Amino acid sequence: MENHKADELEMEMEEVEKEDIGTKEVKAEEMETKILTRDEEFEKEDQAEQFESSEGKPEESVAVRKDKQVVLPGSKIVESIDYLPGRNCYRDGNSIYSKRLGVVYYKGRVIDVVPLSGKYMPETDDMVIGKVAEVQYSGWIIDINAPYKGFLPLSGVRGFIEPSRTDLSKIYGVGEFIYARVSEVTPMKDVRLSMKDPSTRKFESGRIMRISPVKVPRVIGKQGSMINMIKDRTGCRISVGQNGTIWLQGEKENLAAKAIMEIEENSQIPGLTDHIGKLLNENR
Amino acid sequence: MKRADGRKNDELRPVKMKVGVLKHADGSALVTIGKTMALAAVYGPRELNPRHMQESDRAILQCNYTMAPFSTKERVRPGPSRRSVEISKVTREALEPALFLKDFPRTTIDVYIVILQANAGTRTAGINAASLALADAGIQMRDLVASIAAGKIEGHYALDLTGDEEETTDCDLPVAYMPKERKFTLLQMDGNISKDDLKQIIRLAVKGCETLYEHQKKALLEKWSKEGFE
Repeated sequence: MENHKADELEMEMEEVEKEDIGTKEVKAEEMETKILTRDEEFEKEDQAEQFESSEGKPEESVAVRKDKQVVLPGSKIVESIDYLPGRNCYRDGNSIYSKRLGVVYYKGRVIDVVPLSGKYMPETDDMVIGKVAEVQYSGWIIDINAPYKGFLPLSGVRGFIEPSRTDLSKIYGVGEFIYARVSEVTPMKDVRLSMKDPSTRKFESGRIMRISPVKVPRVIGKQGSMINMIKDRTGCRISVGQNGTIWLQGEKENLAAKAIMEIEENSQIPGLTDHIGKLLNENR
Repeated sequence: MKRADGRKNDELRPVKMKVGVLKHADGSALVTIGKTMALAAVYGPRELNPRHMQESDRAILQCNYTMAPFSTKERVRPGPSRRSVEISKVTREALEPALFLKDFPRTTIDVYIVILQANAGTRTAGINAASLALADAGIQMRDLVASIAAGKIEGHYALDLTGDEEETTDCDLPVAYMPKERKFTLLQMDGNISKDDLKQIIRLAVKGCETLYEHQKKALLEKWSKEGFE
């Protein structure tokens, strides 16, 4: 069941006994016989676990962590074969553990751990806002605020471009910001971008701000409710990238930016939408 | 057996842990064990340059352990020393098994440990802090890594040696351990003891690690538990 890594020093763990660790003289042979092998010890543990779970209904799974609880790397979430490990968790034997600091969500039979911190990891079909880092012969290298840079190939741009006759930097120059779609992420994490979507564009004016990518769903809100409220009350156009980069332009850019920063800081409070609504009203 | 500071043999020095102390870093932690204070900062996963150091199928871990010049009574000259290079290496090897490096090919995870105050147990305090900082940064891990040193003073086994105790001990044994995985990631020894002593001292160190593990979990939840929303 469990993978036994070969330790350089074969140290076997003894049973939990309250021993006086003092100057007791323990003969080597005695020690040897007391020490259980790893297999034996795990067997004993399994038996203990089985006994515990049979105290209740044997068919029911043992949920150690409930929905919406915070878990740590290595936290046991559930001890059952009925569930499947989803994002950021893994199965080891009968149990599912968290890989990461995050919040547990039970989605039917699938357990997801939504991270509370961390870098943006690009996924196909994400819309991101990136900054042109380099202009190359056949495309552009885009900084998408992730551990990996994105590549926008010539073929990913609308219209026909003749590379030998065109100065690519006139299309997208270094330092400019674009709203692009992630068209492909290979297993080696090469990230391809595309500007073919009608919603993709280059930003000519306005301002750019960055928030933690983990907070993006909160800024958007259920069915866009939060971001639309901010757009309406501040008269701004706002584009939110999954990578945490946000573009805004309009009447009350400062107010919109303030509201977004407030969401990032206080994402966990209940009734966040009302709270932000109040903030927007107070500063009309 | 009474130790100079009145502790029992299996008692740790007072422990304080705080997570998220550096705003710029992706993850950070400050760990104080007695007078020893270690600050860890994690940056990553991030792009790795030079490219020839990239591993195509996984992230690499780079650790840098350094002591602040004011961390000891006699000023420590800043910059790497043979000792700090060795400790950087063993720290990296103590943390690597806990990380899911395959989830981030071609990147680096950079861990910086600075000892702000040193009174023995600096490498172990550093590993405890680094482990917290990695979790704080949202990096995928199998388990947290806890670390402590144990030894043998005047015939008695003792946990968490102080600077003075280190000078008279028969053995200084730092250990790093993943309590949920029940695996060791660091085992070093400086000294001269019997095989039976070895087993007992390791057991004692594991007990210390299990206690520190509870402190680590508490420190992470202290910062993050209010984030469980809705």
